[in-house]
Amino acid sequence: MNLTRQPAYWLFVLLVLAGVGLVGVQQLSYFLSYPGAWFLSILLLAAVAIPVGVIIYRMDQFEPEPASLIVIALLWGGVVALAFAAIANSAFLDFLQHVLPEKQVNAWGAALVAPIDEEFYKGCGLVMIFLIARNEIDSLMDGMVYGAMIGLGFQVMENIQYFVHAAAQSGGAGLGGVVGTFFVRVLIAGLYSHMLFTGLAGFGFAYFITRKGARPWATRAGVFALFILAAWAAHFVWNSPWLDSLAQGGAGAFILSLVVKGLPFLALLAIMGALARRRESQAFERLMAEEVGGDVVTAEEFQVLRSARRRRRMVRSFKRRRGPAAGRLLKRVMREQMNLALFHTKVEQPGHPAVEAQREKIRQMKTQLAHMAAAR
Amino acid sequence: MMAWLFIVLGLSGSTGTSGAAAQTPQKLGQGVTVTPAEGWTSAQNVWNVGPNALSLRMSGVLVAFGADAYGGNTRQLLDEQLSSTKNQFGSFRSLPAASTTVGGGLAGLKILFYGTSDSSDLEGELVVAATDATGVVMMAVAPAGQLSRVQGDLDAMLASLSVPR
Repeated sequence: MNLTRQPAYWLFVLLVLAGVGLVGVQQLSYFLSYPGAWFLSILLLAAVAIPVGVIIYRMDQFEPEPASLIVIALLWGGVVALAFAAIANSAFLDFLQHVLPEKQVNAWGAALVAPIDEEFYKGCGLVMIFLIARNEIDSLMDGMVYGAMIGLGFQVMENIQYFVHAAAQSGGAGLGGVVGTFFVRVLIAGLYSHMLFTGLAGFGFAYFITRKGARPWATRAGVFALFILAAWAAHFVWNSPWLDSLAQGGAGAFILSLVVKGLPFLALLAIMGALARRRESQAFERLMAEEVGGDVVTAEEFQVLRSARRRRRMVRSFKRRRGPAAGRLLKRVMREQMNLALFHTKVEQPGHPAVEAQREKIRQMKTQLAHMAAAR
Repeated sequence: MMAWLFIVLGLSGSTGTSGAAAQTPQKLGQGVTVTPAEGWTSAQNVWNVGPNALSLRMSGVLVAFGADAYGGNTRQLLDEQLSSTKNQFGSFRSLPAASTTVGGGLAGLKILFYGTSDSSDLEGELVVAATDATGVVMMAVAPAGQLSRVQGDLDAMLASLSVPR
């Protein structure tokens, strides 16, 4: 996949460079003013964001998204969307301050402004990824993964702002502000944030573009609008002052208020995720039907391929018995076997040369694997 | 993307600016001046702070600068200001005071606070400095989570304070 051939890719590059002008300067000023707090923020966020990113990436077990597009999603969220939203938020709040009473702006400003601006700019990232690589968003899971990755990028960069400002507000030298804010914003409330909001939007977007031909335009647009609304509502409820009085009633009440505000939307995303995964599993079975039972994919191998847990268990066990190199090769064999399903989505004739070549590649790898196993 | 940006910038611009020209020093009491940062406009219509002070606003944040005759020291000025601020909030908590400097290297004290007023969660920053019978105060108030967005402007305006000594 050559991304540089797409005009949209160059537009993306241009927007990232513009965004870096704003976000980069801001990060540099944080680093120069509060180096300790900045480094600690990066360390703490990396410790959480990397495993979370891996989990999101692995959600799409049958067709992992290309790393280049994942990087684009993260950059979009952390640089482009953040920069545009920062400018739009300030201008929008400024406007509200002139047209609404002061108290209303204080109480509802963040709930009104942030969902509109931030969800819009993060959502534009989904459109950009689609324009760069149209074929890559071909399932509901893909939309969720890209949406959540955009949200993750946004969340990480936004949290650095919060962490460094917390340190600055507590005198700059003390790092307690960073740790305290990390505890509240990431460990307690991290799940109810931008990954959730944009993950919902991604599901709706993927439904709209992948159901073309299968569902009427109005149905697709309706579902898309519904999930955009859900993303907006989740952000709005989260930022609203509802239950704030409960949040001041001690740690238990505070956590309860967070759960009440965020859990319904998280549950919705989890249900949609399970649904998307089931659809992926069904599609995988359908696409692999022709292959199962032959020498390329045996029935036993197919049972293992269907489950990420069984695949991991099999690789671990094989590595233990036959050595690390054999374990790595088995993992590659499994990936190539699963890629057969992708070949069937791209070509229509069963005996297509590309499918035959892929089968041959798997046969050779399996032979090599058998030799390695025999040599131990 | 750009269209939405232009819409909100247009909306913001359509409300007009009033008073407090940016980059122009504004007089407070006792000959003290402060230079508003770019984008800040007068907030006199929502926060009347009297003749020796100036109130400004931008993006949901309100800030007031004031200077008046004062015979005590910086710590006393902070305690007085903090006490009157507390009374305006339902619930109120603050972080320990930290040393800071305002325009021209004048030593001051800074305190961050959080509170609830009329069901709104607010955060604020109070900076005071006292010297040569003059007390200078800056108070910024914003909806929770918004103060950090303008911290650079607040720091710049504090640095722009000119206090005759």
